[in-house]
Amino acid sequence: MMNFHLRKRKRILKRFILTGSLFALVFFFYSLFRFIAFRFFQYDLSSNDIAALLLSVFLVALFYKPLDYLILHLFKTVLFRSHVRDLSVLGQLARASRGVPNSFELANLIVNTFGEVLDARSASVLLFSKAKGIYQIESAFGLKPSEWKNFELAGDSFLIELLKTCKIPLERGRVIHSFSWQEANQLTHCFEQLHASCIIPLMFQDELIGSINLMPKSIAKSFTSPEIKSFFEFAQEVSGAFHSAALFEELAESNEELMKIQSSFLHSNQHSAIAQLATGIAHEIHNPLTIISGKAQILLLKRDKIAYDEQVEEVLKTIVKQTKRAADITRKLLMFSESTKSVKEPIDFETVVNDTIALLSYQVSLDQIQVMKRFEHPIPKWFGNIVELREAFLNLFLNAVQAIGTKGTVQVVVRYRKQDKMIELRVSDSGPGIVEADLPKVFHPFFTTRQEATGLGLFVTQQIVHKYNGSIHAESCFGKGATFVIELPCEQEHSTFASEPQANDEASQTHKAAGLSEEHFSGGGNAFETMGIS
Amino acid sequence: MKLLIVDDEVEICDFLKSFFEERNYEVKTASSGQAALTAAEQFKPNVVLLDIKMPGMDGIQVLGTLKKKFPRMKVIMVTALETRDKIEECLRLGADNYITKPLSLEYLENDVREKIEALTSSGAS
Repeated sequence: MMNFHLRKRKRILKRFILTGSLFALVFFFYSLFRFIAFRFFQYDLSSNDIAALLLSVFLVALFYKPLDYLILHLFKTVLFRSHVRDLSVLGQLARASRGVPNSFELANLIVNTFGEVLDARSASVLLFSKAKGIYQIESAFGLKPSEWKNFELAGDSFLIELLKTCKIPLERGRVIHSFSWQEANQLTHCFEQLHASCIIPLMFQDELIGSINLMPKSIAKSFTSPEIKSFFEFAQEVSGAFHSAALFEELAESNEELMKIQSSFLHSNQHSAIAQLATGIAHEIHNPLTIISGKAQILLLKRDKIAYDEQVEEVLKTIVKQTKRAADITRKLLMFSESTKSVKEPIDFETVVNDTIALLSYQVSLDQIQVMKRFEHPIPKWFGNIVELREAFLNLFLNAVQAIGTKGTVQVVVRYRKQDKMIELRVSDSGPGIVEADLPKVFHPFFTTRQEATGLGLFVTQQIVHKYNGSIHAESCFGKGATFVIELPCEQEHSTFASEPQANDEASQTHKAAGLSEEHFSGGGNAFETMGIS
Repeated sequence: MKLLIVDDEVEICDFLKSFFEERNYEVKTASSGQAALTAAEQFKPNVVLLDIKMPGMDGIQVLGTLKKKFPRMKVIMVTALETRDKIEECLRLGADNYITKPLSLEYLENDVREKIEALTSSGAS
């Protein structure tokens, strides 16, 4: 209706301007003739001006067509310029929308385009939310969040039903007249709430997935029928994108859910499967290993009676050592698979680290490996199972030592982070480091880059750390060594601070007992303690 | 010093037998739970080295019966399995030690000797 009135008004205005210009032109030519006649022929036309007037009218009549065209053009470009919207942007937007897998982003893109480029005062996108079963505004332009954030329409509300049945754009002015006053009232209310004069349905295969709601800047700039038609075409194109975005989101959600279920299932399943496997392997492998190792030991014990040459003795020792290593695989598997109600007690990290390194120095040759330890006191006692902590640290330390090979440095740092109540244990080595592609895999079971390794050490460590709600990660730059960081939550309530001097004394005693020479670099509280084993 | 070795792996029984015989033990072997019980009745060993996983009657059942019938007999579990549940069960049934395979013969011999010394000292007192 408004459009109709406007059209009429525009036409009258145009006629008015056109007639005015024609009269002005006639007057202009008439004056021109009079001026020429008076100036050049000394003849006053005022007595005989009918001829001049007719001539002017004739001339103007000649110019009528181009003039009419000119005025129309001026009309379009100057007076109602903004009304000529560049609809090509909608085509671009529809094409771009296909690549947006997110309804919110898509809705944002659309309302902003309508608002910024197509000069709408307000624009909003209403979308069906499957989870809630209602239509909600996804995004809006030119509206305050309070005006649309809580707006929702039930699936059986009048507007939605209407959109579902008629499947065409609704214009406020036109639609209201075709209903009873009650229904018209309801509709007006909806249009008001949506701040729209025009509602364009988003249909996907006969299903109403939402609508684009638009309000022009002013009545003068209201949308024309062809414009609304092209908006509708745009809506049809973009509704496909909305549909796939919704599908994508749904898929992502259920995928996430599935991942959660899978991971918990895998976790429980993994446990029992590995436990079974480990038990089976333990029995099947340990027996032959026992025989091999036992017979080698018998031969070794006879060395007093029979004179072996050194090489034979070396071979026998290797056999015993290697069978023990093989048995360690299954032992580790069992250790991890056991769901123990393990005993927890307050543990001093420093003692565990010192003892474990001391213990290890019997087994692994640390000949050329320098071990640097730093304890940033105060470190509270940690509440947990000592066997597990020892195992976790042992694996990291062994890993570092094996990464180095023959010569290098292992650095162990323990500190307590007050801000998040975490004990941080860092084990760094000067080995070759980890290739970036391998970094995410280092904690996988049976992942190893070394021929002799089991690939279970880091895995078991990770399991232990996770059991205590801690985290573990590897930092490495290929060629520059690797650092493994364990972070374990340590609540103060369960723990007491270790009395430092005593702990230090005990630690050094342990080392002397283990026959290690120690050097202390004194440098304040955080001195590096270096253990050179030669 | 009488020693009974129970394991379903004949090879293991054999090398343990020769090892202990060289060290002047009187050794008998059994390769099943049932055979172990019969041998224990007849042979009356001081110490039994007992495997857990055996076909038929397993080591834990044998342990229970032996400890009931012969409370003074020392039983050392020698096994490939070392889950905490098993260890706890064995200790509850009165096992005197729990050694895992592969074995360190030196450690095993020391342990057996210890058990026998404990027996003789308690028997003397």
